Parts: sequence; C-alpha cells; structure tokens
Amino acid sequence: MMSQALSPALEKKRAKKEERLQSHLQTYLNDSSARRSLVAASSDPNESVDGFLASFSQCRDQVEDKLSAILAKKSSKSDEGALECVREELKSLSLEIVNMESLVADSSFFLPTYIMQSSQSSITKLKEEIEATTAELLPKKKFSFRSKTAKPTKPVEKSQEILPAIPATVSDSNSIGPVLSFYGIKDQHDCTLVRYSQDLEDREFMLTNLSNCKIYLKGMCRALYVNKLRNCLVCTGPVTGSVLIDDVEGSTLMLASQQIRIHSTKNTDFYLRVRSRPIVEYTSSVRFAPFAFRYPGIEDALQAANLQEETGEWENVDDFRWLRAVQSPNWSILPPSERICIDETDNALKI
Amino acid sequence: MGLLSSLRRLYRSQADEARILFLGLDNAGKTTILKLLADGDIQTVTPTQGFHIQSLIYEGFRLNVWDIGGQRAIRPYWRNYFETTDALVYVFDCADRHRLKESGDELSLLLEEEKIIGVPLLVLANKQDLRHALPADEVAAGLNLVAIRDRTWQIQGCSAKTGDGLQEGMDWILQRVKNKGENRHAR
Ligand SMILES: Nc1nc2c(ncn2[C@@H]2O[C@H](COP(=O)(O)OP(=O)(O)OP(=O)(O)O)[C@@H](O)[C@H]2O)c(=O)[nH]1
Ligand SMILES: [Mg+2]
Repeated sequence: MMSQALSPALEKKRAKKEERLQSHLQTYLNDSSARRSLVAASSDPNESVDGFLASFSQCRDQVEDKLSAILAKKSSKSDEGALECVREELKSLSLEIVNMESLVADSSFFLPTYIMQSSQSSITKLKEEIEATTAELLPKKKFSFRSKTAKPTKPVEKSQEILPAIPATVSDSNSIGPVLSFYGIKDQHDCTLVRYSQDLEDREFMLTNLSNCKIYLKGMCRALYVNKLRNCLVCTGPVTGSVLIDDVEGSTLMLASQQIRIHSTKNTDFYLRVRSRPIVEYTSSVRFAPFAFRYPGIEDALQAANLQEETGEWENVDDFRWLRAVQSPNWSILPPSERICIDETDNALKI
Repeated sequence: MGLLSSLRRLYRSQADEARILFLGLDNAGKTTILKLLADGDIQTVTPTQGFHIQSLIYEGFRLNVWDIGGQRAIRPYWRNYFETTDALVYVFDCADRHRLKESGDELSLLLEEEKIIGVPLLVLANKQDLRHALPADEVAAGLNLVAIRDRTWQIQGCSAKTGDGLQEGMDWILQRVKNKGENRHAR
C-alpha cells in the first residue's frame, strides 16, 4: 500500500492483529517449557556454554520425543481430524527448531566452534527427520500466489507468517568443510518470510532456490547473494557492500546497495537505490524503478549505509551485452503508473 | 613479436618496475583491494567497465597494476592485457560459493594462455571478513591449484574491508617480481 496516515479503521485492524499475534505467542511460550528455558538461557547476562548445552539438549530431546510420539500414533487412524492434528504437531516442532536455531545464533559469539558445528548438525538432522515424517504422514498441501498481483500487506495464510523475528541460520547439508556454508533462506516455496536487523546485522545473506515466496529483509547486511528465484517478491533494507543476482524469473526485487549486478534474469522488476550504475548481463525483459520499500527503522539504516538520498542512479542501467550507443532492448524503465510501493511501517510485527 | 611489444619489454626491463595483472570474476573485489592499497577509500568503488590502472609504490618498487573488469560479457577481452605481465593476481570472492566452479574454469583457461605461461600467480581469497567465506585452503582445492606445474603460485586469504592478508600478498608479489628474470620462462 502507499504510505499515508492510517485511517481509524486500519488502526483498529492493526491493533486487533497485534493482539491476536500477542496471544498466540503467549500461548506458545506458556506451552513450551523448552522455550522458557531458551528464553532464560538467552537472556542470561553471564552466557555460559553449559547453560547453552543444557537448554539445547533439552530442546533436542523434547523434539525427538514428540517426533517418535507422532510416528507411534500414525497407524491408528487417518481421518481428516487426525491428519490436522498431526499437521499441527509437526508445525509446532518446526517452531521448536526455529527456536533452537535462534538459540545457536544468539549464543554464537561465546560458543566454541566445535559446539557450534555439532549443534548445527543436530539441528540439520532433526529437520531432516521432521521433513521425512511430514512427507510420510501428510499429503502435500499446495499454495500459490502470483507475486505481481499479490498485496504484501494483506494478512496471509501460512503458518510461518505468525512468527516473530527469527534468526535465519540454515545449515547446508552439502557443506564442504567445517565453516557453515550457508546463511540465508534456501529451498523454500509458497511462503512468506521476514528477517529483522538482529538476524542480518553486518553479515552476508543468501537467497537461494525460492519460488512463490515473499521475502522481507528488514535490516542491514554486508552483502547479498541471490540465486534462482521464480515468482518471488524480495524487499530488503540496505546492503552496505554489493548485491549479486543470478537466474531470477518473474519476480519483483526491491534493493538498496552500493553496487548491484544482475545476471541471467528475465521478466523481473527491480526497484533500486544504488550508488553505481546497475549492471545487467545475459538478461532480458527487466524493468527498473526507484526503491520503494519502507519498514520501521529503514531511514536510519539507509543513513548508516550512506544510501539515504535518491541519486537517480537506478535508471542508468548498463547492459554489458549491449555495447552500442542505442538503448538496449533488454531493459526498460517501469512506467510510473505500474510501480508499486511496499510499505510495512504500520506492520512492525506482521509478516 | 612486434616492435611495440619489444619496446615495451625494454621499458619494462627497468629493474624497479613491474606490470601486474588483476583478474577474477566480477564482484570479486579487485578494484576494492587496489583502492584500499592505494588510498584507503573503498566506499565509492563502482563495477569496472573496461579496465583501470593503478600505480603502487612498494619499497621503492613501482607496481603498475592493471585491473580488468570481470563481468562475463567482457572476460574475452582479458587476453588483450596479457603482454609483458610480470605477475598475475587472481581474486576470488569467498562468499560466492555458487561461482567457485565458474571461477576455477576461468582460471584454468587463463593458465593455458601462452602469453602468460610461467608468470607467477597469486590467488587472493578475498572477503574473509564475511562469516561464511570459504577458507583459503578450500578455495585452493576448488580452483585446483595443486595441478599447477608451470609457475610458482601462492594463495592468500584476505579482506579488502579489513585489510587483512593484503600485506602478505603484496610481499609475495614483490619478491617474485624483484627476481622476475628467474621466474619467467623465455617468451
Ligand atoms: N565484505 C567485503 N566486501 C568486499 C570485499 N572486497 C570487496 N567487497 C565488496 O564487493 C563488491 C565488489 O567489489 P569490486 O572491487 O567492485 O569488485 P571487482 O572485482 O572489481 O568487480 P568488477 O569490476 O565487476 O570485475 C563491492 O561492493 C565491495 O565493497 C571484502 O573483502 N569484504
Ligand atoms: Mg572492478
């Protein structure tokens, strides 16, 4: 939606939504003793490795127990109600995993590397188990939307959308060597995901193999690598280094960065704030417009990244495959009447 | 070999000067590294359209560095800059794991180029400040550096953001070009 003062009706709607979210969170926190210990552990001023290990293994055991309970029940009945129940249980396990990841991320600055690694691999293992169980017990659920017509501010339909800020550590199972090889969002389809500044601050972020997803990165990062997106909406806060984009189709990307390079991309709209000429290569049917993403705090972030002013560089696109003086046929300016604006300022908690 | 290049060789053979070539995929950080070495201001670096030349003075030695743009569409032009090169610096963005293979392929093509046979090679495994950057030894494996037999080479982890590793890298280059006569095969 466009940025403007909120009408009373909208104000009320938002308050209601926040209330719902709050109560959902509350129930969730109360329900889960593991979560309580997580909260305790991560707010402990004298972070200790022992505390971390205790909470982490408690979570892990709990997830494992629940998972075997789910599996044990599976044969009994398979009517719709039972399925729904299983779905809910699996969903809550996924939430547990997210919390475990968040615990690891929060503790990463005091954890020895080998503990980081072993926790990461237990998380990966649990995820695989949950995935396998899901595949076994649940028929595939289908979601889809078209990014071009979707209204990102409208409340949406999916479970992940009611989560608060979540660190996005995803470990790569094909990881080569001891360094975590992936930080970002990978292999996701039909979902909406938000990352906040504490998840992004001053590190690189990757978006890999996503389709029909809406991704909001509401914070600053050092570098962004985008690979293989189909029908996605991606909106990011400032990237202090560069953005590298490869293999994107049918998507909309709103990005702010010092440098932006776009490779092998088709049918995609870019809304850019950039300090050097945007570069395209092996790319066609892409359109450009000025950056139009807002969320609470973006002004400060843009300021910090030296990207507060619009210098108009977004339209000075350079097509490296078109070295002639006439305009490249591969890109164009997005007509003002077709431009959108993603304003999340009144949606601090909504995803 | 044409007259022009013989003249260039004569010129280059001045003992206190060397020509260094910076190559690598786009976004690797070539220009940023040079800017940091030259004047420290890395905020305003823009992607390189063609090439840019940067002179660096080290211990009274003048390094004329040719920094060539690495976008795929302009990589075929790299070969225009091979003449009279004393050392090759190949830069890799260690957070760009997706393109490790692509970068390795470009490097192996380079190493087959006749005009730079035997030229010492320094691989800069850049952006080590990023948390999930590949460490230098994995880059070495990914680029298959152990297969190199016809020249001296070295790999150095570094960051143009923090400056780490760059001194070591440049020291190595300096050593190689100071006794360039011994390193080069006859051309
Ligand atoms: N975090 C981090 N960013 C870096 C580092 N080195 C370079 N960058 C960033 O990477 C982006 C690309 O750097 P450039 O120096 O333009 O890359 P290049 O190799 O010259 O690219 P081309 O000119 O296109 O061939 C810039 O946004 C730099 O700020 C580094 O060591 N760490
Ligand atoms: Mg450059």
